[in-house]
Amino acid sequence: MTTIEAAAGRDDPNRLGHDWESPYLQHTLGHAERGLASKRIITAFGFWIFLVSDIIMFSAFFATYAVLVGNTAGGPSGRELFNLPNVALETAFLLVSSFTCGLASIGARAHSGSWFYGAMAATFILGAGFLSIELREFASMAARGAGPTRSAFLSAFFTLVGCHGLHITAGLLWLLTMMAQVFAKGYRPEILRRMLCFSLFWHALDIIWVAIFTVVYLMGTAQ
Amino acid sequence: MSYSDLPNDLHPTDIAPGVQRLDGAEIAEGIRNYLVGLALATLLTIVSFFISGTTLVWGPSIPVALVVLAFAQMGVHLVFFLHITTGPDHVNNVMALAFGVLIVLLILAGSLWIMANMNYNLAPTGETMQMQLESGPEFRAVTAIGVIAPAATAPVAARVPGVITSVRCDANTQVKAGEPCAAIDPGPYKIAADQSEVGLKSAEAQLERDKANFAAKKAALERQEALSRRRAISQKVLAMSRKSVEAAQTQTEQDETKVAELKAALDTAKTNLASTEILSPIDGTVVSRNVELGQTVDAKPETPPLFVIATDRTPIHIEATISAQDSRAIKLGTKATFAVPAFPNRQFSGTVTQIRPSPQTNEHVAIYDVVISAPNPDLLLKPGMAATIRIVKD
Repeated sequence: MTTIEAAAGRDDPNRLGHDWESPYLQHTLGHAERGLASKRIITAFGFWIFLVSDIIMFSAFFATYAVLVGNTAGGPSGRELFNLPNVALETAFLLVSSFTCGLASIGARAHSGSWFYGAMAATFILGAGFLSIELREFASMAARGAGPTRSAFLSAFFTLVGCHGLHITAGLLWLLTMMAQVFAKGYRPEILRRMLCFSLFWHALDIIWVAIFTVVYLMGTAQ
Repeated sequence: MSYSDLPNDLHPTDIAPGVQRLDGAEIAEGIRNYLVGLALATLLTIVSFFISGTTLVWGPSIPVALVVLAFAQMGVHLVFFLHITTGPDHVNNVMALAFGVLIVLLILAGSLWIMANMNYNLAPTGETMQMQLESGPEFRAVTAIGVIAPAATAPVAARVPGVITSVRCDANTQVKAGEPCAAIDPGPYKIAADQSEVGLKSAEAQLERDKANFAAKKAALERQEALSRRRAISQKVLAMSRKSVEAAQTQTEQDETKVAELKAALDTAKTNLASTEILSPIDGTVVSRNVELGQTVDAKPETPPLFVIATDRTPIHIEATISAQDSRAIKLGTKATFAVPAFPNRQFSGTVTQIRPSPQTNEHVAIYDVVISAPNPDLLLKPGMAATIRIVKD
C-alpha cells in the first residue's frame, strides 16, 4: 500500500465504504478505487483515447469514400488509376517501419543509444519512403487529369488517403523531435512517456493503412 | 530492465496501452513478440494482395475475405505491436477501444445504409415512353423519353446479287472507309469477265483482219482505177471492186462497234467483279448487320441494306414526342438536358433542332416529334441508349 492510496483511502474522514486492509478487497477493487494511477499510465491512456477518436474521424472519411466511390462523373475509376505493386511497396514500408518503431521503443527502455537511434532512423527512412511513393502516386494522378476536383470519388480518395499521409508527415516530424529529445535530455521518464505515445501513434497509423489498402486499393481493383 | 522497475510505476498491475509486460522477462522476449507480429502481418498482407487479384475464388466472396483479413491483421497489430490483450489489467484500454469501434461501426453502417436508401428513393421510376408534364406553375419543364440515334448513318447494300461467302463486320465493329465488310462469291462474275475478255480479244482480231482486208481491197481498187483510165479493164470489173471495198469498209465499221460494245461489257463485268467485295463507305461503327454467311442476296433497291454504319465523332440525335400544348413553348434552338442510364451521374446537353410539323393523333391528343441534337465528343453516347430528356420552357 502506497502513501497515495493511504491518502486517498485511509485518511478519508468519512471512511467511505471500504476496509482497505481486507485481502479480499485488494483483489476485487476496481481500478479507480485503488487510488491514483501512475503518470505514465494516465498519459498513455489519454493518448489512447485520442487515437480512438482519431480512428473515429478516419471512419467518417471511410464512410464518405464508400458512399462516393461509384460517383466518378465519367472520370477514371480506381481500377484504372491504382497501381497495386506501388501499394504493396508502401504497405511493406509501413509494416516494417512499425516493426522498427517497436524495436526503437525496446531500445529506449533498455537505454541503448545505438539501438534506439538506429531503429528510429530506420523508421524515419521507411516512413519517408512510404510518403515519397504516395506523393509520386498523387502527382501522377493529378498529371493524368485525375486530381481531387475531377469527381466526387477522387475528392473522397484524396481526402482519405491524403489525411493518412498528413498523419505520416506529422509522425515523421515527431520522430525527429523524439530523437532530438533523447539526444538532449537522455532517457528521462517524461521522454520515455513521449516515446511511448509516439510508438502508439505510429502503430495506429499502420492499422489505419491496413484499412486503406484493403478498402480503397484492393477492393477498388478486385476482379 | 523492465517497466515495473521504473520509479514512476506505482501500480505494477495496471498497464498502459502499448506497454509490454516484461516483468522479469528478457528484452529478447519483446523482440520475439515484435517478430511474430511482423511475420503474421506480412503473411496476412500477402494473402490479401493475392486474393484481390485472383480468379481462383468466387468473385463476390473476395470483398468479404478482404474485410476478414483486414480485421485479422488489425487484431495482430493490436496484440503484437500495441500489446492490447484481454487480460484484467487492460480493462480500461479495451473498453475505450470497444467504445471507439462501436462509434466507427455506427458511422460506417449508418452512412452506407442511409445513403443506399436515398439512392433507392431517388432512382428514376419506370421507363414509360410517354411524355410527362411536371405539374405546377413553378415547374416549367417538359420531360420526355427518347432513344439515341446516330446523326449520320450509311446503309451498305449489295450492288450485285450472289451468295455471301464471308462476313467480316458485325454490330459494334469499328470500320475504316474502304475496309471490306463482306464478300459475295466472285466465281460467276469472274467467269463473265473472262468470257467478255475472250470475246473482246477475238473481236479485236477480227477487226484487225477486216482492216487488212479493207486495205488490200482499197489498194486493188486504186490499181484498177489506174488501169481503167488506160481502158485496160472494163467498167463492170471496176464497179465490182468498188462494191467489195465498200463492203469491206462497212465490215470494219461493224467490227469497231462490236469491239466498243465488248469493251463496255468487259468494264461492266469487271465492275461487277469488284462489287462482290462489299466495302464500308465511311469511317464509323457498324450499328446493324442483316446478313448471314451463305445467304443469297440480291441487288434490288427494296431489299434491306446488309449493314448500317454510323459515322464516329458526329453529333447524335434523340427523337422524342411532346404534346401539342408543350410544343408551343418549345422552339428550335431550345436547350435540352438529358441523362442516360449508363452514366447515371452525368448530365448531357443538346438543343432542339427539329420540330416535325405533322402530328400523330392518339385518342384525340396530338403529339409532335421533336429531335434533339447533341455533340458526342467523348463517344459515351451509343446508339440505342434510352435518354430521359428535360426541356426547360422559357
